[in-house]
Amino acid sequence: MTDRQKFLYFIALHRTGLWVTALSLLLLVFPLVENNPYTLGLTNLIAIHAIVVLGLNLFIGYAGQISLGHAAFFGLGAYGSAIACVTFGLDSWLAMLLVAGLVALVALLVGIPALRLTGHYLAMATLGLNFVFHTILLQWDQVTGGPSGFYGIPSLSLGSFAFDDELRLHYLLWGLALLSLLLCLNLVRSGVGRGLSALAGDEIAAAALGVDTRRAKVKVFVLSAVLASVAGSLFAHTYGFISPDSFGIFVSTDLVIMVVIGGMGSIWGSLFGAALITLLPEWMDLFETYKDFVHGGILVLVLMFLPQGLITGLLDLLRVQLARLRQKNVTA
Amino acid sequence: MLRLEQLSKNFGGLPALSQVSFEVFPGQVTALIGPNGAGKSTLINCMTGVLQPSSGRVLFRGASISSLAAHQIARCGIARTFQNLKLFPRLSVLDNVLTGLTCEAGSSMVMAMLRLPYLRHRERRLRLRALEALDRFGLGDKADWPAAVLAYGDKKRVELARATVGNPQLILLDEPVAGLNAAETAAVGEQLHLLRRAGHTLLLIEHDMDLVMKLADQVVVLDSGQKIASGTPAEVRRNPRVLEAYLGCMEATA
Amino acid sequence: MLKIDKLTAHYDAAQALFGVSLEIAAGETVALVGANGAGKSTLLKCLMGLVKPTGGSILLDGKPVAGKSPVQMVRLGLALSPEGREVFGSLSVEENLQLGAVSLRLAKGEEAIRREEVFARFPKLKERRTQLAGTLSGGEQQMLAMGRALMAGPRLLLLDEPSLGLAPLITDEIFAIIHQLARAGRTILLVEQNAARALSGSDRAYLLSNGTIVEQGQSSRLLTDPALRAAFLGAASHENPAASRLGAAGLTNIRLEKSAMHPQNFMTNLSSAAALREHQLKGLKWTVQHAFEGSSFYRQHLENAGISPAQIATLDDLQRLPLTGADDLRQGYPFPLRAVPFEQIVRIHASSGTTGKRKVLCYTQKDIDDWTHFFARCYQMAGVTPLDRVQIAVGYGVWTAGLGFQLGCEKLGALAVPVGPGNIDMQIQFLLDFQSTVFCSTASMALLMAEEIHARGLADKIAINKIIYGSERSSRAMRQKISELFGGAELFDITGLTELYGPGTGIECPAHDCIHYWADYYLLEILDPETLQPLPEGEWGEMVITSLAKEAAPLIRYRTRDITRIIPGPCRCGCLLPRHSRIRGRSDDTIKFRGVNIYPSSIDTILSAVSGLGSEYQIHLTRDRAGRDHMRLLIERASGVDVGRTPELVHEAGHQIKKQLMVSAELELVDYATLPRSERKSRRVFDSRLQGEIV
Repeated sequence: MTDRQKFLYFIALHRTGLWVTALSLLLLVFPLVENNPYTLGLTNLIAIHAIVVLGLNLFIGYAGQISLGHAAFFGLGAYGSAIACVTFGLDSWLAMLLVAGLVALVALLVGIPALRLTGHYLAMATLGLNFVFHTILLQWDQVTGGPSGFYGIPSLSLGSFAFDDELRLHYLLWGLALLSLLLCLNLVRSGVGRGLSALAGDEIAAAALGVDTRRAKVKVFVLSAVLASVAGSLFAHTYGFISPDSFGIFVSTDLVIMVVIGGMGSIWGSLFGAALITLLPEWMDLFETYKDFVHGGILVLVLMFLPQGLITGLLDLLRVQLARLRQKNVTA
Repeated sequence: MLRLEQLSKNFGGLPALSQVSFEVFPGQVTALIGPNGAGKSTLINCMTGVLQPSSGRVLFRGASISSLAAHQIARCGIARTFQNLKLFPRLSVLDNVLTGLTCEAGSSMVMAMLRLPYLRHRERRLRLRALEALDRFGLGDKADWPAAVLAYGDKKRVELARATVGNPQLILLDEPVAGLNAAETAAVGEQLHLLRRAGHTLLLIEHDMDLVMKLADQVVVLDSGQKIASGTPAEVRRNPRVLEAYLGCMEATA
Repeated sequence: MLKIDKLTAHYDAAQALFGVSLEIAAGETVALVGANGAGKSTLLKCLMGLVKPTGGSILLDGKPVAGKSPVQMVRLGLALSPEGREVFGSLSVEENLQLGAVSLRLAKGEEAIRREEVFARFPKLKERRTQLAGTLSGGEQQMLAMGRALMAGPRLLLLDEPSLGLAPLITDEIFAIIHQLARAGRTILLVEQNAARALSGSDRAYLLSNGTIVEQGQSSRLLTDPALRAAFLGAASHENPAASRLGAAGLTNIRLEKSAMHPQNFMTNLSSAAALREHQLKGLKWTVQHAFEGSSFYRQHLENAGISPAQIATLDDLQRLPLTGADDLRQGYPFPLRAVPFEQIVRIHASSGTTGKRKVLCYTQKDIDDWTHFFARCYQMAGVTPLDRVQIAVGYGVWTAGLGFQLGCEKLGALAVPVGPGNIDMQIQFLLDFQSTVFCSTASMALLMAEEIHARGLADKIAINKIIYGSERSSRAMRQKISELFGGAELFDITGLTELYGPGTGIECPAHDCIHYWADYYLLEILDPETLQPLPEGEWGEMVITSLAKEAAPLIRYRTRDITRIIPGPCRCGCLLPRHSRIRGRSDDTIKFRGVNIYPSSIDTILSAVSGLGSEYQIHLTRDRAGRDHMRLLIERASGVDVGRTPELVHEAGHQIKKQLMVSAELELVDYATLPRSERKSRRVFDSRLQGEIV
């Protein structure tokens, strides 16, 4: 094999790792280029959303299921961390882990019965879950602070080094987001990931090939819940203040929109979807009142014209055009 | 290798299968034929865990599999193809065949996410095996195409490749040549013959009589949910009940 | 009524129709026949408005209709019974029929009348009018689809593959109904893959291939046109079964049934392990006595070891006997180990002499008879019968192989075709002319023949179903390749040694699990090649042989230098004779590389496990100026494997070699068939390092 061949093979073999490294480098130098704390604050929010969307994309895009209630897990992570740190005085990192574990348990208990349902029924069940959770947040005000929210959540810190400004948070949050990205990319490229794709494609065929469909669905559900929980904890520690508004059913639908825009089944697309929807309010000032309208509109448009999602849809179009060009060259 | 004992299946009150019993011998091709509506697909679905039989047993290598779930049956070493093709259109052809190796690809999500070296090595091995399976069925150059764009005949071959790549003990084929023209049918027939030579055990549901008569060691005939005959192709061909129910008119047509 | 002119259609980037033109007059039944993927369904979809054509025109009664919506097409008088039926499973039969006319907005009475008409035509549907369509059988669903189309009262009825997936009897029914409809004056466009059916049921036909019309005309003419019959009716063409690929694939080959002749049985009649041991002890005692008395060499050898024939009382006493080896044979040249007077010797055979002086062995008539007998046993075990034709492509003359294979074959009663080695053209000619069913050769020769057969495309014209090969190690990949290219033949590895009669001392079992050896003719010990102590059963070691009935040149604990292991336990095939594994290599075959002992056979096994590699390989060992050893492995890509897979294959092969042998070898992948193949034994190890001992 020539050296050139060896080099190309190396690139092909490690292409995922190389792309992630490239993105990491980009994000490493980003604050040097753009150090406006407001902008960094936005990108930090994108990172948090990205973590949730990655997990949700695995559930919706790869396993082919539907969840309209993931904000509940996001909220459980946020409120769980808040309560654990403020009310019980636990260390923030420990709290994050414990809460994630608790959320995993909840997801398991909810998932096992709920995932026997499919399609519309599952959507309704998850919606119901979110609704219940939101109501608890509002009513159980001794614990959650009720409608006025929960104050005083401490920042994350490593010893005396506190992640309390946007710059430090940039590195922490994006570090964790990139880690989640890598883990999800790995999952998707593995045999287990293929099993999930098979599950989305045709459940009967997947079962006939040896995929334990019930278990797989629950596993992915729990995974996406855990990711949402971690993101929620990070959210709480980043802003120091959380309120029930941030965890209602419209937030759940926003998350689904992020998944769809990015492309169902596209892990990289999740980043794009999270970024676009997070940044949208910034670009459209008179937007606030009509936020849901615009979100809904985007969702409808994307589903009408590019049902696989924005990124995947555009990529497919590109591929088709290229194929047509190639054919023309061949026949010409 | 596979034995059905008094297998019955009722849908509501309607008996789709009544007391069906026969045996599939290792290394041989057993063909299951019968007029439309005889219950062949129901039988395969009962055997592979898609449906639960109402009564009777299915024994695979001596152990009962009648109550197992579909994925457990797959892990016992039974692979199947589907009458109406169940490929995964979003995946590439190679990925489709790789799903046939699910039983060997690990089931731990955590390990998959960590992508430790042993996993990478395993992926590479599986990939090469899947490519080899595609080569065997003449689809090597289409490995990266999305499965949805292939012609019908090629799609059928992908499904065959997917079913055989994992070296299963028993392969159930639900109408493998339906919708194929004569040349494609002959090609598939040859592939099946090679599979048999390699020692695989096949259970075939088919309507194409040419193929069945030439390939099968044993033929089982089903009519209206009951087994009406079984034996070598020559015997079954001469059986008056079978001729009456099924083969009779075939001789008269082109 | 309908005129299609130079219609083109695309599915995204792929073009499905390339300028198709056809015409249908009112009242005609026109068939559109073609292979899968030819574009038939695409054409129908264009007609129905389900797919928008990208070029050309469709004129219905002179008016252009291309690109109109399906609803409009139905209103204009077209109706489609789609491929695969596509009935609405959760609705009843009646509701499905109602939907057939829903876009026409008929008056209730009109709809009911049409429904009754459909029921009159399809009585089976009437019986099941309230049944859910999803629970109907395939044939009933087809009727429903057609009935649903008829509900629209179409002027042109489009039927897409009505016989798809239906049993012949039901297809008859469906076509009978189509015939009725045609007689009743309906215009029908029938799309079918089943050319015979379509042509017998239509007036005119078009043959579609790869998106273009290749032939058109009266159906009756097309039906009898022989070239068209061959192209489309292929496997169903009864005139020439060999022309059908199934027949050509050897499925209609000469089937060799068991003859009415009483087949001879060459298996041993010793029925238990105890009886075998008793027989062996008798043979051992006799051999030691005979060797002691008849051969001065053995007498000297035994006396030196301090043992006499009388001391042999049990089989364990075997270990007290001294070992002999190839050197003893060479020293006794030209008649080593001779234990009988010359007038009893009727033949000599010699080995190839690749490692020093030739080994020459002599035979009495009884020796030859014994050998012939157990060689016939080999054939019997492989399932060869007197009806088989055995083409013998091994070396004749002074080598043991030729006569061994031939006499054994004749003893069994099969037909021997004694071609000898080489001469590939003649070999192939004979395979075709004589339709030989068994092929005997070395593994390398078999591979050579297999590749030649493949290159000439003759796999379907030969009748070989068994290959018996020997005198060379072969890898699993090589065996698989040979089997495949010969059209799915069964391979049997036959063992043997010039010193021990010749080939035929054991053969691979029909279950292909192991090699059964003829323990009633010789004793097999497995010893550690270094310490020369017996190894426990199942461990790899050197084969040491003691003959039990050999007269002219008896063997007592002869070291063969071949490595194998005994496989304990009973065999799946039911044979009671003991078994050993395939020969792994010779004890002097080992490659010593950077302190690790490697058998070439290990490399065989490792490479066999990598999917996509060919079966040939070469090992090149070199030493650089600094005194470090380097191993370069030349491996082949399997035939038909794309060049782009090279890096992956090299990566995997290298990884496996590193993991299992703990050596890093430099790998080079070459194209299939680049490495040389030989008719005799292939040389695979090229060691150019300086060695201490002279080989």
